Amino acid sequence: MRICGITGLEDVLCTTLTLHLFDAKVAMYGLAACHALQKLFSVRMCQLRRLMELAANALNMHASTGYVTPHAVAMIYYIIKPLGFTRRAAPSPFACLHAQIFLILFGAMRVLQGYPHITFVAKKTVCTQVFEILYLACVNNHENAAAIIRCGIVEFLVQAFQGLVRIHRMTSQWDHHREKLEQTLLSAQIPGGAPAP
Amino acid sequence: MITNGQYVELMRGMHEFVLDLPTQVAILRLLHQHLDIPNQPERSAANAVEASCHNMHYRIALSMRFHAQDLQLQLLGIEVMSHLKSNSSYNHTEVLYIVAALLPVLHRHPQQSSWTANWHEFIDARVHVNCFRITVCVTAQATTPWIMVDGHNIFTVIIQSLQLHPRDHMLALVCTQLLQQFVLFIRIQDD
Repeated sequence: MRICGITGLEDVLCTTLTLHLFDAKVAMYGLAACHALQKLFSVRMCQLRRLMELAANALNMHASTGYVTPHAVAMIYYIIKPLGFTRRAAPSPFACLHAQIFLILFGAMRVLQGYPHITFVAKKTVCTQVFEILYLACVNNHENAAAIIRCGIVEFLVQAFQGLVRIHRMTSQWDHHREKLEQTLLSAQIPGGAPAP
Repeated sequence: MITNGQYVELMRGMHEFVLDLPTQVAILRLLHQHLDIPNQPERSAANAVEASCHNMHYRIALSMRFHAQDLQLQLLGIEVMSHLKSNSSYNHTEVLYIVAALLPVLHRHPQQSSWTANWHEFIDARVHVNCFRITVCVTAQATTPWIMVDGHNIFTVIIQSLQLHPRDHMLALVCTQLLQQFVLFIRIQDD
């Protein structure tokens, strides 16, 4: 029985997460392991959509326990980043895209509301990743961009980020991602607007 | 209460007669009866006791592996281990060996449901305090051969346990925790 390849490990982790996702600690450890695997062996991961769903469900389920959020957002980020929303990770982009975005944001909001046991660096990482996920979701997809504008999501995030940056007296990389996202949203508002850079 | 000197002798006995089942059971039973094992050795006997304390989990794990089919020894071993005080001085190899020894033992006797709680407690108390140490050691010595247990690396042991008992909640917790710690540092077999 071959059990120790990346595929085997991914499969075992997915099964464990599916069966025990209700436990925040299992969700956290499992997603952290998957996230590390995805970072190291992204080409050889085969169950990206399943992992996306698990991460989104974990975010939704454990929003009140802030320690799951960084791993879940990172998991989604590392899947989305190389692939975009419209390829392997999410074969039916519309069906899962909106749900994913709102779940991600819901989780991120909870983090931003402040958990003493999450470090500023972790919060900043989550925020930056959320911006980039949103950017990837909106680029070349006007419906998503419109949904994000309609819900005022960017305003909320900017407000939350500024609070964080002010508290910690730090400049942050999130500005760059925010600008990218805002440009994309702006071009989406103009009919036939130029695609984002 | 076992004195420091007696404790050192017991550990020596466990080491020297590791293949002798009755001796192992007797020593473990004695330890089990006196679970208030000295955690802070007296200064005079500090070195000897510290060395023994340091090896205690390892000795018990070794004994459990040699006598894997003996239910009484397994039960005593896990219970004694569960009651040992947290010891952050274990190095990563020792911790991994202990964990790797316990996982298959736990599954050889799945009818012993009381072990699950002890096992969880053990992991929480001991492995968790070693997380940082494991990370540092393995990173610093990336070329160190991975610890082998029965011809498999610990990754295989953990994955096998998850595959055999996918619905065991405590096991899922322990195994995902271990995988999360080790995944960055293990040279995984190629697919």
